[in-house]
Amino acid sequence: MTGEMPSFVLSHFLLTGAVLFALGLIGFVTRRNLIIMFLCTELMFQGVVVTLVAFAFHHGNLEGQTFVIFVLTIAAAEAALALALVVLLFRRRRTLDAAAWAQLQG
Amino acid sequence: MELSTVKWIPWLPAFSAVICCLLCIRPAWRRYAAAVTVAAILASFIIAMLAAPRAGDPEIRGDYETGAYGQEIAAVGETVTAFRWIHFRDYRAFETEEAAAAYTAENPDLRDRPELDPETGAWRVLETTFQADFAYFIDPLTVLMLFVVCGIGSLVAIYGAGYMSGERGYARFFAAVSLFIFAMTTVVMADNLVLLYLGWEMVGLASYLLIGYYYHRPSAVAAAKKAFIVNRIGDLGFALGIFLTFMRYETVVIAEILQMATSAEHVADWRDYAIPFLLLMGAIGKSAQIPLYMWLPDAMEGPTPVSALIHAATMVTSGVYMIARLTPLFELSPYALPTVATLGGITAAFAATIATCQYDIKRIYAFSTVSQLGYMFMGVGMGLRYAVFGGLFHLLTHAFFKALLFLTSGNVMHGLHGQLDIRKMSGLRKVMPYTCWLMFAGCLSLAAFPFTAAFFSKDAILAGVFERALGYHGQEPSNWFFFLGSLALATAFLTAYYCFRAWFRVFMGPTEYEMGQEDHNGGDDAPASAAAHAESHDDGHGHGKDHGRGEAHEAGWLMLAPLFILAAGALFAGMVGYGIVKQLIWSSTATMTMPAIVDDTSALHLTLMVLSGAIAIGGICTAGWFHWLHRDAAARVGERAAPLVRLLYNKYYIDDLCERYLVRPLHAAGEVLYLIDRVIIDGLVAFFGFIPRLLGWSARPSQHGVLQGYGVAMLAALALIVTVVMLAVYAT
Repeated sequence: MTGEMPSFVLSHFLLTGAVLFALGLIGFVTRRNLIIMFLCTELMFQGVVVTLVAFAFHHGNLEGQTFVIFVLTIAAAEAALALALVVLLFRRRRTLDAAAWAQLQG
Repeated sequence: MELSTVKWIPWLPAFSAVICCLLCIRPAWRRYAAAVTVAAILASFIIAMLAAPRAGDPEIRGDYETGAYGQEIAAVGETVTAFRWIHFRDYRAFETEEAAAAYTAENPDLRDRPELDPETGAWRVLETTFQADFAYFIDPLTVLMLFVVCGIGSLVAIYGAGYMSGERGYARFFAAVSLFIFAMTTVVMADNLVLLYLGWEMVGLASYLLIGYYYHRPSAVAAAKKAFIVNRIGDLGFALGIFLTFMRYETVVIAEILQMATSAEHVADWRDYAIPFLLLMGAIGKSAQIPLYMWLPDAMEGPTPVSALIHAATMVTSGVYMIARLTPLFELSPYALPTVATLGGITAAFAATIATCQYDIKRIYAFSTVSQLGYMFMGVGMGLRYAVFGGLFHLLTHAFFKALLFLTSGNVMHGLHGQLDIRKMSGLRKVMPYTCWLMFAGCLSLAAFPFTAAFFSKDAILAGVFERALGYHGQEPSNWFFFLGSLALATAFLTAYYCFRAWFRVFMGPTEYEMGQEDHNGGDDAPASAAAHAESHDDGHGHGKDHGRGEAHEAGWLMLAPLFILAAGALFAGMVGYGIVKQLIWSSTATMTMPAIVDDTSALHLTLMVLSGAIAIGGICTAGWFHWLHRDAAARVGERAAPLVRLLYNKYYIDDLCERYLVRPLHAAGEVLYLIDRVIIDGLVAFFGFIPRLLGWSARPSQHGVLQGYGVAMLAALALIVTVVMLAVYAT
């Protein structure tokens, strides 16, 4: 199966993952809305996940895909926690601007 | 009683000090501190009087008059070891086994057999190179000192139980008194110089604690510090003297040192010339001689029983005791004992002139103490059996009459709420009759009125000085000692004058007085001490709620009873104790090496007795004329001689000169050193403390709290790591 697979397919998948990751990163750095920033982190997650699946497919084993299942499970739990935190932070300051919490500096 | 029980003499007061500290736990327990202390000191006194005279060879005491008993120290006194303290042991190497075996045979106290050194193969023996135990050397001199320390100590403690009642820190006072008795008995019983020095420093500590007893009073704190620091100067010399003694004799055990110093083979070298002068520094510091006398008058800031016990009767005599104990060391240097005598003679006259123009009763007696200590120094510094006996006998009689004088002046102070100025009191004999006649007895003795105690002791000193000056008992006639003797006679006149000046001023003439400011009922105290004071009312102290503020009154019976014993001592100790003390001193180590009495000097003694008796009566009459009968004449003479009076009142301005030329330069030097400490030492420390702060300051901006910033930092770090990894991968 590996032999029949054209090599550019892998690079396409990897490129998709890299684009997703870069988009998420840029969004995280540029946006100030906490929810958007959180979504951007999720986007970076998905970029990495696509890369993992692509390599798993490329190498013909299931380790990468198993790993992806775990990542998705944890990401779901973490998303619930993160959104709850965002709600709490919003209740404190009545705003979603990340700069409102900038005084938590060292 | 077994001789070995003497080891309890210092330790009973030591336990009493601990118990007094424990009694501080509960306010209700504190008033038992006096009973504990008195019981402990009295028990020590009884042990000392029953057990200690058993020490030594009774044969020696039999023929003490001739002084022909040889020089065996071991026969004069006995050593009682309480427990081992400091032992250093080291190997002594030998060439052959036979040499090592011979050495162990010669020294039966070695505990180990010769052994082979595994490294060098030489023979060696383990032996003690330094030994200082809690061991007590008891000879007749120690017995005399124990009589003074424990006897006067217990009387003063009884007096203190009344005098101090209601004071804040009642238990603290008795704890310090017990500590003092522990220390002082250690000094007079010490078998080695290290233990002697330990006790010497402990009496200094107890004195410091008791001078600073009223620690909320700045003058008391300053006086305590002054006493401690001035004593340190002397003690530095004493410590160096002990070091040099150990270098010279390779032991610190007094009996062994004296044995070696008096042996015929001993050849004096420079160390023997230096040791007495270093030891003398300690003695003049503790016994308040010129130039280290300044602390003693200021020490009167302490409670009056302390002035009586420590700063008149006992502690200040420890210098005299030390010189007497180590006299054979002093005799090795031809100038040491004459220096002692000269210092003493000059101090006696110097302090007596100051005492004539003081107005504070306690200060008069303080300078009188300095002066009388000068007499004792003159006695022990004469190097003749009669003079040394006189110096140490004067130590005993002085303890009686000076304690009596201080305690009666304490009664006056107590009755007049802290008033001590003799210009502000007059005719108190009607108000406090017992105190009046008790102090009269003390003054008679201090003035050496014929047949009182000090008459005999002072006469013994004077006789000794003139025996030396006129060249009896194989001495060279000496003009210098004749001058010292004449100075001592002049001092005797001044002594009679100044003590009766105070007495006539205070107790004779019209009755008028001004109350002092001090509320000794404990005005600044918490209610707890007021309650304790109310309870103490029935022990005869005499203060109560019914006692008005503005009237003078006689002291209670608890305070008067010990004074009667002291007064009996001040009047009759001379007649009773003369023969006993002479036997004690002449069969102790103090006069062991002195020349034997060969000439008949009874005519000289009789002449001096008549002369000094006449001088005493003359001084008393002069004082009575000016300060009882014709006080206006005294005032006129005082105005005529105003500059002299001012000079004497200001103690020859010595304190001011010290302040200006000694204390202030030292303060300035201290400021400079403080600046160096602040700038260089503290600067260095601060610099090393600044480095972590600098690092933190440089790293702090990275923690700015902006989430995006953290994101960028993570990205940058990631990029860096990836770049490094890629470079590494492609480089291979």
